[in-house]
Amino acid sequence: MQSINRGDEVMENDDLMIELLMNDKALVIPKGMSLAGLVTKQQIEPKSVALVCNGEIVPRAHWQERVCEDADEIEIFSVVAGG
Amino acid sequence: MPLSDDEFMRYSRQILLPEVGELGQSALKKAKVLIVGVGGLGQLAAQYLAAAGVGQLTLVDDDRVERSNLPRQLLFDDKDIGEYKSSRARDKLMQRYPNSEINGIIKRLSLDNASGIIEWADIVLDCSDNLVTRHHVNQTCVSFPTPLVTASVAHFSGFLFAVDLKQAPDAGCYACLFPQDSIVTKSCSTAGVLGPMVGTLASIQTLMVINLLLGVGKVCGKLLRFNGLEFKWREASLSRNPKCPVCAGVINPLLLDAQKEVCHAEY
Ligand SMILES: [Zn+2]
Repeated sequence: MQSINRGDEVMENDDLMIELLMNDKALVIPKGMSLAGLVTKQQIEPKSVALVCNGEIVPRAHWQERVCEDADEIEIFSVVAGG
Repeated sequence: MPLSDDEFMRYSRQILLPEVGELGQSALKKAKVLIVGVGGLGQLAAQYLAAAGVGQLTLVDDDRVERSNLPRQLLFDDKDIGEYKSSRARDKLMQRYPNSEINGIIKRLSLDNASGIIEWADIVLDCSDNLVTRHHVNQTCVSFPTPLVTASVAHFSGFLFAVDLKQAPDAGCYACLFPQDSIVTKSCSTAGVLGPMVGTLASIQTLMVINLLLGVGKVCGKLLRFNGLEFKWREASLSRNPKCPVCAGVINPLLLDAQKEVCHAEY
């Protein structure tokens, strides 16, 4: 009984979760999460980083509205200002 | 601007390149280049540009040479400690490269003085070491608009890109990538840096500037990042923030002009 329940849970999770690449590492996150949500979930201060999604910079102003898609390749990198 | 016999010999390996040629070398001789920040990036870029025959070079920095600068700022030595970087760099470069006119400005670039300094330049290299200056340089370059090549480095990572609103309006500006409320967590003084890391970024930055001055290459629209532990270069295409408080007011009219031209062409 318990094992069937667990099986259902996994199936349900498959529907609700997506897998993407974040700085070259696979990451499973809930479907519908925004880029802003993703950054915060990684415990990264959003104002300290820039974000590349599938080879393109996404301006910080768009992170809230842009939803993560399955298989997205995301790179997050810190602002450096040294010279 | 005609080249002298000495210049033909001196720059012969550059003139040999079809992308440079005699015309290109003359273009470098005519060029007025501004370097903001004469630290690790700036002192190397200045040497490359003066050596390559850039006619006029202005160096802006209000810092003095410190002992901890010497491992990566190879233009300076122990005797320069305590001297202003921009004036020491100017003196040394003038001696080595008498074909170039070198100016040193002992000032920290700010919004108050930036227009007067940048107005003069054909192109600007941002080699500064803090975000405030970087935003002031960007904002002023955007206002003209003057092409800007910005590079920065700390720890084992660095990145660079060009801002050229005329050639690549869709790439936006520095503030499109890093809005003005951005926070820097890594700087050279807190995270450390190695000379060759700075040299790698400064070399590519200068190469971008020379390409832009010659009107060759595919410089615009891309952000390049280098990691000096993984030995990986990564590229991303830049995208502008249509609501960027710095460049939207400049780009939107430029784009409208471009549209009008297209409309005219259709008739
Ligand atoms: Zn902008």
